Formats: sequence, C-alpha cells, structure tokens
Amino acid sequence: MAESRPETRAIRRLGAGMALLLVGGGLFVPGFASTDNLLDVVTSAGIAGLFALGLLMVLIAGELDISFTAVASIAQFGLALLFTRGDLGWASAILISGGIGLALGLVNAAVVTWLRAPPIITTIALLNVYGGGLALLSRGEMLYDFPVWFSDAAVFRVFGLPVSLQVLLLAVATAATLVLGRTHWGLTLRAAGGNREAALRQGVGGVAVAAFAYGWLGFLSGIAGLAQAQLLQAVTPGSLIGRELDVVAATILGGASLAGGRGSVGGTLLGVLFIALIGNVLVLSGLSPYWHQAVTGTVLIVAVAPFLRGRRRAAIPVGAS
Amino acid sequence: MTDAIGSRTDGSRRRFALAGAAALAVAAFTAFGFGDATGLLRSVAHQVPELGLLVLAMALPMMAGGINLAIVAIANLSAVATALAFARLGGDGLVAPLALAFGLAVGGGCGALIGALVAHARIDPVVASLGGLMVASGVGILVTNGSAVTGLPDFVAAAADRTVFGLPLMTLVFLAATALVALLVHRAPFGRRLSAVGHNAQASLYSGVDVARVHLTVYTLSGILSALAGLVMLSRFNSARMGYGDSYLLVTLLAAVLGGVDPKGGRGAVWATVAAILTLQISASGLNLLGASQHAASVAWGGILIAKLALDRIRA
Amino acid sequence: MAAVSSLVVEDLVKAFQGNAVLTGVSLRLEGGRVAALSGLNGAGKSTVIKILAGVLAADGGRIVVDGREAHRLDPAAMKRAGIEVIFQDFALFPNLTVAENVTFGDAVATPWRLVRRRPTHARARDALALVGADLDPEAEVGGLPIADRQLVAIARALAHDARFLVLDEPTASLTHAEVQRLFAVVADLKRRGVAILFISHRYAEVAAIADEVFVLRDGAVVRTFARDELTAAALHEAMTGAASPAATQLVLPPPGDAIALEAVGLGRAGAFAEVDLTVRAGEIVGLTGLLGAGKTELAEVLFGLARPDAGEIRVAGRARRFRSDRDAVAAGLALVPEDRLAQGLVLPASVRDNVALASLDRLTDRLGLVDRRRRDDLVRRLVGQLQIRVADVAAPVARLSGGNQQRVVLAKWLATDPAVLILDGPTVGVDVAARGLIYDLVRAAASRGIAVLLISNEVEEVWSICHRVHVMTAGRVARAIPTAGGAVPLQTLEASVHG
Ligand SMILES: Nc1ncnc2c1ncn2[C@@H]1O[C@H](COP(=O)(O)OP(=O)(O)O)[C@@H](O)[C@H]1O
Ligand SMILES: [Mg+2]
Repeated sequence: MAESRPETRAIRRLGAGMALLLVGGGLFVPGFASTDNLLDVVTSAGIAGLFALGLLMVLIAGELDISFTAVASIAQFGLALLFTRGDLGWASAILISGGIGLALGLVNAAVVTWLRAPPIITTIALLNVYGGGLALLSRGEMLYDFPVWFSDAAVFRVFGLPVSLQVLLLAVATAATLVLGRTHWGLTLRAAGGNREAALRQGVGGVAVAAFAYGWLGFLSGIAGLAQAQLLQAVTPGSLIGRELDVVAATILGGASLAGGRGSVGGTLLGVLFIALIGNVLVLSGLSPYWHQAVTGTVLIVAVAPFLRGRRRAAIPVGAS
Repeated sequence: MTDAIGSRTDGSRRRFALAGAAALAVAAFTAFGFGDATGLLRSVAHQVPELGLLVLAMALPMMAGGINLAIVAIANLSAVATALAFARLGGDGLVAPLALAFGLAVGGGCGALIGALVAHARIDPVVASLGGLMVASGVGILVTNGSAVTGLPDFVAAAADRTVFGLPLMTLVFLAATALVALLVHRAPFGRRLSAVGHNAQASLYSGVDVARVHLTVYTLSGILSALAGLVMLSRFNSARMGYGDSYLLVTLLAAVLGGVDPKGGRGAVWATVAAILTLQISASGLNLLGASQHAASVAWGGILIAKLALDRIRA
Repeated sequence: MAAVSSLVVEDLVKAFQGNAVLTGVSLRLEGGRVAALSGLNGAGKSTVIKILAGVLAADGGRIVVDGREAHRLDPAAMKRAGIEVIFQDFALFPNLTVAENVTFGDAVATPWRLVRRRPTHARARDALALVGADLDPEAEVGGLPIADRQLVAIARALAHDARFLVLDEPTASLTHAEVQRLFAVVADLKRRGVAILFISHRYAEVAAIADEVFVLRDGAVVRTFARDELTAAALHEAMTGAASPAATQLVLPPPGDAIALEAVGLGRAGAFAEVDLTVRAGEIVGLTGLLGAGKTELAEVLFGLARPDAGEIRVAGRARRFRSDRDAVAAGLALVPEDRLAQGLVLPASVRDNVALASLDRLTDRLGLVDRRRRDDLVRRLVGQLQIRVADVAAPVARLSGGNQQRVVLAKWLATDPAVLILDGPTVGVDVAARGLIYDLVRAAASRGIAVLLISNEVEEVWSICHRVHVMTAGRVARAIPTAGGAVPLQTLEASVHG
C-alpha cells in the first residue's frame, strides 16, 4: 500500500488521541461526558480555532505569521473605540473588525515578502510593534460599556440571525475547506507552498499568494477579536497577546508543516479541540491546571518527532533548515 | 577575526557602524545630561550580563540557520531548578556548586532536547524550540505553581554586587563566556562547520560534516548559555520565577541581527553582537530614565529590527 | 490563426554572479517545425529555456513572438503567448496529485473556478495517455519514481494547447519505448502546426526528429545544421570543438592490482539490487545509465550517506559498515556529488573554507583551534595544483565559473588524501576547456594510485576516460565492459544503455 498523506496520518493520530481522551474522560472523570461540558470545550477552543484556521492558510502557502494576536487586539480595540463614539450595527462591526484585520494582514504580507527574512523573525518584530503600539495608544485601559445590542446577544449576529461561536467556527471551517479543496485558487495556494519556484515558473504565486494567505489570517484575526470582545463584554489591550504560540502548536499538531504545502482544515480543528480537551480533562480531574502547558508541549513534540514514535528516519537526510 | 564567518569587508563595516552607534548613544546621553550618568551605567552593567548571555544563546542557533524561541523559558527554568536545589539542600559548602551545576544541567538538557529534535528528527527549529519552550515553561510553572521561589542563601544576592579586580562578577562571567564562544565560533574547527551548516546543511553533510552533531552542540550550548543567564537573573532578583524577562526575546533577536548575524544562517560575529546589546541597553536605560515605557521599547526594537532587515535587503 | 507562428531569439546574454553563461544566443522557431538545441552539459541550454519561459531575466537580447517583440518577460506573459515548457528539473508540485499537476494550467487561467473532479481526471488521463502513461490520477507526485515524474511533466505541457513547446532533455530518464512514444507525440504536434524546441545532445534523437539543429557551445550558437547536413561526427565536433572526426579515448595510466573498493551483492530497497563491482587502485571504472537508473543512490550508499539492506562494501579488502559518510571518509573514500550547487559547495562561503571543510580535523593546532598557517598552505597548494583561477581565496565560491567550482570540490576531497574517489557527474555544468582539465586531474589521481569510480549520464564520457564501464539499468548493474584501448566501440556501449 502506498504511504498515506501526512495530513491523513495527522488526522488519524489525533482521532485516536481524541477517542482515548473521550473514552478515558467519560469513564474516569466526573462531569466530563455531559453535553454542556463538551460544548463548553468547543467554546473555549473557539477563539483559538479561528486563529488556527487563519494560520493554516499561511502555513499551507509556506509562510508563517505570529503577529495575529496583536492584530486581533488592534481590531477589537478599534471596534470598541468606535462603540464609544457612536452606534454601529452588527454588519458594520463585522466589517470594521474584519477590515482592520485584513488591512494589517496585507501589511504583513508586504513586509514579509519584501524583506525576504525568515518570517518568524519579521513577525516577532511586527507582533511587538503592533502590541506595544496598541498598549501605548490605549494606555492599557480596559474598554467596556458596549451598546445594548452587542451586550444583549449571547451570540453573534449576521443579517439578524444569531450565530454562536461554534457555528461561526463551523462556517469558517467550511469556507476554508471550500477554498482549499474546491477552488483553483486553493490549488494554487497549496502548489505555491509545495514548490514555490515551480509555481513561479507557472506564472502564479509570489505576492498574490502571500497577500491572500496573510490577508485571510488578518481578516479572521479581526473576527476573532470581535468574538472575544463579545464573549467577555470587554476589551483589554494585550488580553489575547501571548496566545500565538499555542495556536501555532495546535495547527502544527493538526498536520500543517512549516515547510509549506501541508495541512488540512479537519486536522487543524482536531488539533485545537484536542488541546482544549486535554485542558478540560486536567481541570475536571482535579489536577493542577499548571499541567496543561507541559502536557501540550510534550504532545506536540511526540507528534512531530517520528523517531519518538518508532518510525525510522528518512534514508538520505537533507539537513534541518 | 570575522572572516571565519562572513567576509572581511562586511565585518569591518559592521564594527564601524556599531562603534559609531555606541559612541552616539553615549554622547547623546552625556551631552544632554539625561539623568545621572553613574546611575545609567550601573543599570546598564546590571542588565547587560543576562541579556548578553541570552543574545549569545540566540545568536548560535541563528548562525546554524535556526532559532531558539525557548531561551528565556530555559533561563527561568534553570534558575528555578537552582533555587529549588538551594531550598532542598541548604546553601553551605559543597552544595552551592552542586545547585549551580544542577541549573546549568537543566538548561543544557532542555537545549539538547531541542537540538535532538532539530538534528535527529529534522523538525524545523521554530517548531522544535516551540515544543521546548512549552515543556520548559510548563514544567517550570508546574513545580513552582506559577509563583516565585525565594528564600535563597545570602550569597546569591550578594554575588550580584561582588566585584573582582574592580569589575562586577557577573560582567566577568559574561565576558568569559563571550570569549569562549568567540574562540569556538571564530577559531575552532567547530566554527567553520557551524558556518557551513548555517549556509547549506546538505552540502555540509556531503562534505563529511556531522550536521546532526553541530545542531545538537549548538542547541545544547544555547541551553547552557540561557541557564547561565538564568543564574545571573537569580542573583539579581534574589528569586526565581517563570515569567521573568518576558520581553527579552525580541531584544536578543534584534541584538543578534544588528551584530551581523544573518537571520538565514551562516554568518555572525560574536563580539559585534555583544557591542550591539551594549548599545541597545544604553539607549534603553537612557529612555527608561526619561520615563518612557516598556511598550515604547517594544515598538522601537521591533521597528529597528524591521529597519535593519530592510537595510540588508536594499544592500543585497 | 492563419499565419505560421514564429519565435525569434536574438543575442541573448546572461551572466550568473559575473560568470558569462550566454554570450549571444540567437535561434528561430517556426510553426510545424522541430528545432533541436544541442550542446554539452553546462553549455547553457537550460538557461536559454528559462529565459524563454520568463523564469530568468536576460541581461541583454530580445525575443520576438509572431513578429512582435515581447517586452514583459515573465512566466505568465510567456504562457499567454502560448509557450509551454517542460523543464529539465520538471518543476512539479510534490504535494499535489498527478491530476492536479497535469491540469495545473487551468488553475492558473481561471483561479476562482471550482475544481471539478471528474472532468479534471478525464483531462489528466487523456494527456497522460498521449505519452502512454497509465498513472493513478490521485497519486501524489512526490512519491513517484523519476521516469513517471518526467511523464507527468510532459503531460502537463501537452494538456494545454501550446503554440510553442519546449522540451528540456526530456529523454534523460526514459526508456527506448517511452522515447519512441514521445517522438510520435512530437511528430503529431508538428503536423498540427506547433513550433517545437527539443533539447538533447544525443545524435540519434536529434537526427530522428529535428528539422534543424542549433549547437550551443560555451554560451553561443556556434553552428546551425539543416536536417540533411547533420552527421554524428559533425554534431560531435560542433558540440565539443574538438577537430577530431570521431570521439577519442584518452591515454590512461595502467591500473594497479590491489582492489581498493568492492561491492558484493549490494542492495537497497527501492533503489538497486545485487550490485557487484570492483575498483582497483589506480583504475578508473565508469558507471553509466539513464537518469533514475539508481547510479546516484548507489554512490550515496557506497559513501555511507545511506545504508544498504543487503550485501557488503569492502574497502581495501576489509568489510565495512558505514554509519555515516564520516566513516566512509575515515576509510579513505571521497564523493564529488552530482548536484554541485546544492551538495558540492557551500556557495556563500569562501574558497578557503570550502577547500578546508572536509579536513578540518587535520588542520588543528595543539589547542584544538584551526591552524591558519597550515590551512592556508594547504589551500594555496591545492588551488595551484588544480589550477583554480581565483584572485582571493577569501572570495565566495559562488563567484567562480562552473569548472573552477568543480575543481574546488575536487580540491576539498584531495585534501583528505583519499584512496577511493567517487565522481558523480564531474563535468556537469563545466565548459569544454575546463572539462579537459578535470579529465587530466582524474587521470593524475589514478596515476597516483587513487581508485576512481566515475559516474556519468554521458556514455561518451565514461567510454573515453575509463578502463572499464558498468551499465546500470533500473537498479541493476551489468558486468563491466572493458573499454580502454578501443576494446569496444562507443556505439556498442550506447546501445546497451538505451536498449
Ligand atoms: N542559478 C544559477 N546560478 C549560478 N550558475 C548557474 C545557475 N544556473 C546555471 N548556472 C551555470 O550556468 C551554466 C549553464 O548551465 P545550464 O544552462 O543548466 O546548462 P545546460 O542546460 O546546457 O546543461 C553552468 O555552468 C551552470 O553551472
Ligand atoms: Mg540543462
């Protein structure tokens, strides 16, 4: 039998891990198996899920961005600021936060492609510029006291229809699946991530692909900022910053690769949910919540290191970088 | 000296630029009489050793074409390890060196773990060091419950103020570490291998270079240097906590890049990165005395890093 | 479109890092005709193609398509002009399926259309059927053997109605039957008015399909043949610049008796099996075969870069199990790899650091630091001995010409005093004059008692410089054919490679 795709392997691995957690949790952890608890887990993973689905597109295109939490913070701050000035509806709220995110995403695309330095370094710099700038401008003040319609709805509204965070996540996941799997453009994105030079020789890739990927992540970051503001009914500059590396970890766990061209929507969702489930089980079983990071880190390492799972390494190594 | 890694002309231009920048910073602060000059120097002398060690810990993996995102977490974990060892064993006689060695070993171990992932599992250094970061800080938080470890023997805090031959002990430790790293990178065969691997790991492999060992060594050294920085911080704060030095990652990256380390690997000059961190620290302390915030520093460092990358791009 | 399509290339000039690769290339393609572009490895053929495809920017010259000069030379514009290129390195997407690769042009043309699986598969199958490939459309290309990847690359170009089709050495990995089928496709396209540029340096292929032949030597078209002017001898002479009417064999030093390197029943799953070969001290043994026959894989196993699953490697009579290439180096082996730019050299590093890289451990002083004086002496001696033309050994090796670069790789390995030298494609990308120098160095090494295993895709090369030649076909190595002293004519050897 031919070797299966790495995405499929990641999904299979995560599926097995999830099954283990669900069965184990259901049998041994009181209160775990209730619908409410499981829905709570999905909600708690919702914001990270939005980020991860954004980051997925960037990783597939062979790029990397870790400034998205700062982008989300700026978007939600801008939104909250506008709330204090006047009344907006849901539509403009979505447009504004998404628009701010999109704009910053495009800036990232321009800076990263033009500098040609490793994107990890460039976007660490951007993360600090955005985060520090926001903290300076906002003086670290918390904004709350939102319009009634924003506080009222226990959910998000699009065209007047209530949308919970879970549904939003599902909608974004569906959109990402469609773009990646069902459009020529998604094919181009995967191609550019798989072999950048070959894509350029076919006359695609380059700036357009980067702009799309970073723009998509920026837009979803803006939406994530909006969703978080709605959930907490407050905007604290910096409350999202610091979570970016966990999102990277979840996305990698889901089968995406920093080398580009790899990753799936299903795997990404599973990765995010898996990490949230681990946290949930730890909390419910009365263990210290401080276990979470150590366990997640270990899971990440075991997932990415084939030799730890007893797989023989490739015959002819090509160096690590 | 710099032509071991990087070409000679690049090296001298870099040194020239750095010396100029340093002179400028000093001149600006003295000329305008910002604050009290000795206060400024003291605060610089306090922070430079730990930051400088972290810069070296960042620069080595970068020269090999990688990165170590975990340096600060490793520094804190090592400090925690040493602090807990002191708490368990007390602080007299032979115990002190044992506790210090334990901290260094923990740092080296974390580095070696990341190195093994990069070298043997061929994981991207970003992911490998991210895993290392999560494990190191996770374990650190777990064993400290997220709080500071205090109650250290008196000599720990005293060490921060100790001078030897008129120089602060910590500065001496830092200078000694720098000299050793410079020797290794610029004069030893290892430095040539490091540079070759950073430029082109595959060609190095085909030239009989043990690429895996170079990576393992680089990340282990990075871990040990981080641990050393952690011990310096332990002495300065007289306590250990996961979360000290949270803002250090950016400034170490910036100093490495300003010091001529190529973010794509292969090039770098050890003393130039030291000069860079010195310049940055003088500027930062100057700004601090003026009352500017940590956030302003974030923006400034991030902006300078991008500007430097842009400059390199234009010149290339 | 009534008018016959035409593509005129005038005076293309191109240099890499100051090394002139093209010094003025002019050629002409016409609808319904097949032009061949011939030249030795490194003559600059692929560079011409990449400029035509808009992948590389030329430093000078112009390209005129259908009487109008093309000003915007980027890949998208060239594709719109109807130029389809099959690149020598295929330029496929390893993470995409066969069908996605073959129909990739659709994604380029209509980015926001939806993917329709069934028609896509049908189109991919049709294009693949043209070249007689029966591949699973859902298989990932990264997992295919090299010959199948070549077929996918050809199918991708055929899936779009090109007016100009450029094929860069498409036959290097194909069997005789696959080549014949490709030629039938080319003939059919020609009938339909497509203008074709076919890159090859094999007389038999060129003679079989070309209407005219442009011969590229050291960056310029030195001769153009019409179909009826072409003879094997004339083509050879034009390509090599050697006045001799037929290929010649070089005078070789007599080989020694001691067996330096021996492979017994050596095998590695998926690459080669049951390989027996011996190389004596002072002997030059050739290994040739199609691209993808397993030659490079064999070299890498012999050199400890990969492990065999069967058989044994013996060095100077002792069985060895190499855990890495460092063990092989310690046992006296050296490998000049095929891909010089990626594997042979650390391009941004200096000539000095490259030459010293494999022997750093012998160049240390008492403190374990690099003894710069001894290193510089060694580098100076080798640079002189191998006639590497470089003003300053501290200059990056990237600035050197192909021939000088290859001599730096050789210098790196001669610095280790090897007993066995494995050369994989030692003259790829080396100009004609520099080739002679490399052959001289190889013969000099042999006369000093070094055992040489010379691997090459160019049959003529191994025929002219080896005592004996093994032909490798699909992972099997045939018994050595003695070639020195005219024991076997070149044609016989060529037949056993392409048969
Ligand atoms: N990207 C590059 N950088 C530097 N040198 C190159 C590059 N591409 C090709 N060359 C050099 O240009 C010359 C011609 O190469 P190429 O066009 O591939 O020849 P051919 O296809 O005729 O074998 C060779 O000496 C090769 O080493
Ligand atoms: Mg070519």
